[in-house]
Amino acid sequence: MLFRLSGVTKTYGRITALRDLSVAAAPGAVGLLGPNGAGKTTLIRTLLGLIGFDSGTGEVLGLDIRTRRLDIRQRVGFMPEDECLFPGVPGVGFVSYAGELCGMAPADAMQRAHEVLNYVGLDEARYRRVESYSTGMKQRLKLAAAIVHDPQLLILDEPTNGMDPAGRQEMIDLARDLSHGKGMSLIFSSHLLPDVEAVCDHLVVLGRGALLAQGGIQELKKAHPNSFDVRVKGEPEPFLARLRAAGADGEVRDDGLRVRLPDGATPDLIWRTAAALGEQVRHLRPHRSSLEDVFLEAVGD
Amino acid sequence: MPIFDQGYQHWTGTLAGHRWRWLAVSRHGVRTLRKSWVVRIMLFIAWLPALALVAALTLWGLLEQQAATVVAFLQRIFPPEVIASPQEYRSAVWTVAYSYFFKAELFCALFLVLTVGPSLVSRDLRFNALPLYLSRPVRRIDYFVGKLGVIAYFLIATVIAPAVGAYLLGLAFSLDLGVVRDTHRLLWASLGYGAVIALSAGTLMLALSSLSRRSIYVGLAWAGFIFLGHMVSTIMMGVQGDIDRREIVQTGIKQWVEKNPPPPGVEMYGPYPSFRGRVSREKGKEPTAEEKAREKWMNGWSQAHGDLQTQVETKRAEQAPTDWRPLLSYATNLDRMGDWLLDTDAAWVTLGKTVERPRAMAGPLARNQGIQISTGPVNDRRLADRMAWQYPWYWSAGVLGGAWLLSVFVLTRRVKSLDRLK
Repeated sequence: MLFRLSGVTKTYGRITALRDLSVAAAPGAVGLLGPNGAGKTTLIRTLLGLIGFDSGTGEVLGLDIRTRRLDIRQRVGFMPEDECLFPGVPGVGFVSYAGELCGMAPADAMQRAHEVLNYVGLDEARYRRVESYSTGMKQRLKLAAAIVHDPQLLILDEPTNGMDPAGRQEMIDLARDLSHGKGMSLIFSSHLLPDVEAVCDHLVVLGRGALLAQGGIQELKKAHPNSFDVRVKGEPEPFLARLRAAGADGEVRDDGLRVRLPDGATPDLIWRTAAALGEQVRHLRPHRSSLEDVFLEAVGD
Repeated sequence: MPIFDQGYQHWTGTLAGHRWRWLAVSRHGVRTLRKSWVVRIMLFIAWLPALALVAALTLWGLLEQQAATVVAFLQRIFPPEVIASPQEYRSAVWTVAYSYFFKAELFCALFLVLTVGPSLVSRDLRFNALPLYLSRPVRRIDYFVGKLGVIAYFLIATVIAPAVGAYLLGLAFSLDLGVVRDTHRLLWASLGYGAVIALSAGTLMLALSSLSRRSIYVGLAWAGFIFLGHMVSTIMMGVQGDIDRREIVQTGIKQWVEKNPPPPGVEMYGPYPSFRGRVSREKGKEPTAEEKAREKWMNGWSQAHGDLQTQVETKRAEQAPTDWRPLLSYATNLDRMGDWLLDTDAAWVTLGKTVERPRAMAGPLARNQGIQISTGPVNDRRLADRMAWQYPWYWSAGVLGGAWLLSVFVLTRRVKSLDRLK
């Protein structure tokens, strides 16, 4: 098990950040979604053992969060969302220092820093002072610092924030390569659903400190056997009215109709209705939830 | 694109345990600061007093071996009984030499802390580096100890290392293993004093550094705290001393003048006489009765003034053990701890005894020669009272301990854990 929380509650004064949260995830790439204030950052800090919690139990990589905090942090790499730097050092010094803080010997840390800076594409800038790096370079530098000690679990908190499209794609490619190509487990927290979908296999959706949805992304983006997206050549309203008369239901959407057939009915009902009305069906396919649908459905919007 | 890109490779090395994690923080800080040319210059300057200490200890070693040139040189400075048997005064002279060395090093150390300390925490706060530390297997205590270790490293390099080095050189030049028996206490005192300076000044500087994100303000605060405090303390001690002196001297001279009115032509300005007239006499000419009376009166005034100065000195010595004004100076508090650890007072008493009897004999003889030598009775503590702090050492320990606790409180408040809402 990658991590497991059981009945975890965390409060800051009168604010409840995590509410009796029970969640578990298997090794792999896990996306962490939720609106602002959902408790994503609190969950990450809880997993890292950076904060205590009021009740419940939890473990990360099989280590108890309450008693093995430092051991967990030694096995986990964390890339924080905020802009944060060790000042006054070149890029390679930054990454090797991060390695030393994790317990690497100075010589090992320096050698490894060169390797991971090559990997994240900062090899040309390794001797520049980090204060002079662009936002995208700083993000990649933080990623290098997070993986310098080869963690079993990498936690990325909004890793594509502030990056241009090309830099964002590079970051996604790196995260995907680490999780799918190098076998490193990943927790990927982001507001950007396409980024999460591009990198992760599993999803955890939080809202107001509680678990709203969880599962494999492909499972959550399930097909709906009786629901179809339909576009017709003419006006959609008369067509929908005729379908309703035949026992179906649905609604008009921006790009056509979403039709829900009654139990036992087949798409043939749509074709027969079109034929009866002399309407031309331009598009017909089974309805499948997008990640956005999953997210909006989970958060109740 | 690199010529040989292996992509991401797993690392199979071993990670160290958590116990020495603070060392990584210290090592990084030292590595970064050692590149600064200002720090290098300060390190060089801080070693200069050590050269003087080595020279002093070496000279004493040569004196113990009765090297002719050294004896000829030092007998102008030390009383004959010291020159005759220098081994008996070895401990006292080494102690006084170390005392002066530490006074100079304390000054250098406070400047060095000003050079290396302000950016240690303030820059981390400015660049938001704390999440990078605390999200790794580093506790806040590791962070604090690691940063303190940076200051301690530079203070050890400038205070303890030269003290130990000078000790070993002094030992080498003395060619007598009895030196170890007489002076090993100084070695431990040096280590202890260095630790007190590093712990106190280091923690205080870290606390100041945590109060601002701009290291220039931290530097100004440190300079203000150290130098303004010392200035205020010195001024207050000076003012109090002047008040005491005026009170005793003016009152005493006034009473004496009432009993011994000044001769014609002599006027009193406060406690001091002034003669408006011709003072010099033609060669071979006998003084007139008026001149004789004036000279007699002036000698009487000089004796009375000398006696009153001795009273002032006695009063100061009586007040010194309860004078709180030195406590206002941070540097003086550290200096007082050095006096206690080195036992400077006892060393000055030992040396004072060698000069006090000759002084007591010479005083009355010099009185009529116009030479200002204190005329009081034999007082073996006279030199120690002047040269070493006399107030209780635990007062300074209390002040430094209080400052340390306050610094730790400030640090824990300013360098917070991540267990809070942003």
